[in-house]
Amino acid sequence: MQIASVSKPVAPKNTETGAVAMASKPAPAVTERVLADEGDAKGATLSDAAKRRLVIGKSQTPIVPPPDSGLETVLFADERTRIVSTDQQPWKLICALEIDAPWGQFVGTGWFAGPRTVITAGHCVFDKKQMGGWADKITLTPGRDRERKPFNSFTSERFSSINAWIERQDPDYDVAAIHLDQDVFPAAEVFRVGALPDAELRDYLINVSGYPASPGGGTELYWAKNRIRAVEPRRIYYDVDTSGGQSGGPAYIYPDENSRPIVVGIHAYGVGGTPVSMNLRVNSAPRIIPEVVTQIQAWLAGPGN
Amino acid sequence: MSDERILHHGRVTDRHGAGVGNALVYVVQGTASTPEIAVKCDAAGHFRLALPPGHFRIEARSMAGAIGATEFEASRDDERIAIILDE
Repeated sequence: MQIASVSKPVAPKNTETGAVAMASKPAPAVTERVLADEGDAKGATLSDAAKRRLVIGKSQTPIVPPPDSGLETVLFADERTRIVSTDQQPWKLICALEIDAPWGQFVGTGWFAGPRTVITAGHCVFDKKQMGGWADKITLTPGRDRERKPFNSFTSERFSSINAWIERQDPDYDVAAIHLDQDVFPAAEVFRVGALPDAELRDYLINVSGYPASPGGGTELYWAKNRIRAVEPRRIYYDVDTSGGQSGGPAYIYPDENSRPIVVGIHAYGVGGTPVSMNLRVNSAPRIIPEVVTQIQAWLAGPGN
Repeated sequence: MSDERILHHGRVTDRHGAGVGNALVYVVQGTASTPEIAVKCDAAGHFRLALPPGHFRIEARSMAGAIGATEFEASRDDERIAIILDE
C-alpha cells in the first residue's frame, strides 16, 4: 500500500500546507529494515539496573503469568513496574503526553525517534470522533516521574500522521509524529525503528513502556515485558500489561545488551482490538513495516530536523 | 474500514454526587477495539468518550488516586456514562 504523510495545517488554519507525499521507492518484498544507526551505541549504554530489568534477545520459553487481576488490558496479575530512574536509558526517551484538543484534554505516550521528533499513536494527534480533529497543542515531558521533569517539558502544535489514519482511521496505520523546535537528545541516543520479518520477530522478548492513567495519573512511567505472541502483516500481539494512557508508547526489543533498542510496534490497543478468531488474550500495536520506517525517516529528515 | 464509534457523554462524581474535576477516564475491558488513550474530565467532572457498539468496563481515576468503574453498553445513540468514585 502507498502511504503518505498528512500534517496538521499550520496558520492560516484552513490552508493545507503540510501534506508531503512519501518517497515513491517501492517497499522491499521481505520486511526487514532498521532505520540506520547514527554513531555508536555509547550514548545509549544501559545502566546495570536497566540491564537487570529489561528483557533482551529471544526466548523459546514464555514468561509465565501470575494469577488473574480481573482487568482485561492488564493480563492476569498486573506485572507493570514503576520506573523511577527516568533520567536513564531508555526510560528518558519516553514521554508523558498532555494533549489539548477541540473536544477536551487527553493523556498518552510518545518516544524519541530523532533529536526533535517524537513518535506516538495517530489517535494522540488526530481523532475526528474523540478529539474533534487535530490536537491543538501537545505538551510532552521526557522521563517524567510525577512532578520531576529531568529534561523539562516541550510544547508543540506541529503534528503529522499517515493518510490511512487521517482519512479512514485504519488502526494498522495508527502512527504519528510530533515535531519539536529544538533538539532534546543526540541522534545516537534515541530509539531506532525496525521492520523485521515474521520469523525474526516471533521469539523476541518485548518491552512495553508508557504513562498510564492508572496507576500514576499519567505522570509515572511503567514498564512490562513478555514475548511477542503473534505477528500479522500489520500488527504485533503481546501479552504485556498496558492500560489507557499508554497509547503511543514504544513496544521495543534489544538484540543484545550493547545495542540500542529497536521499536517494532507502537502500542495502541487492548484486548478488544485483538480478533476473536486469534483466540488470544493479548494487547497489540500497529507493526513497524517498511513503509512506516520510510515515513518516520522522512519525518526525521523534515523541516527542523 | 468504517469507524463505528459514537461520542457518549458522561460524568465522574464522588459518592455525594459532586463532580470530580480533572479525573482521567479510560476503557479497561471491551468487546470491541478502543484506543488506549485516557480522557481528562473538565472541572465539573464531565467527559466525552467515543465508543463503538459493544459492552465496556470503563474506569475513572481522580488526581488523588480514587478509582471508580462502571459497566456500559454502548449502542448507536449518545447515552450517558456515570462513574462514581470510591472514597
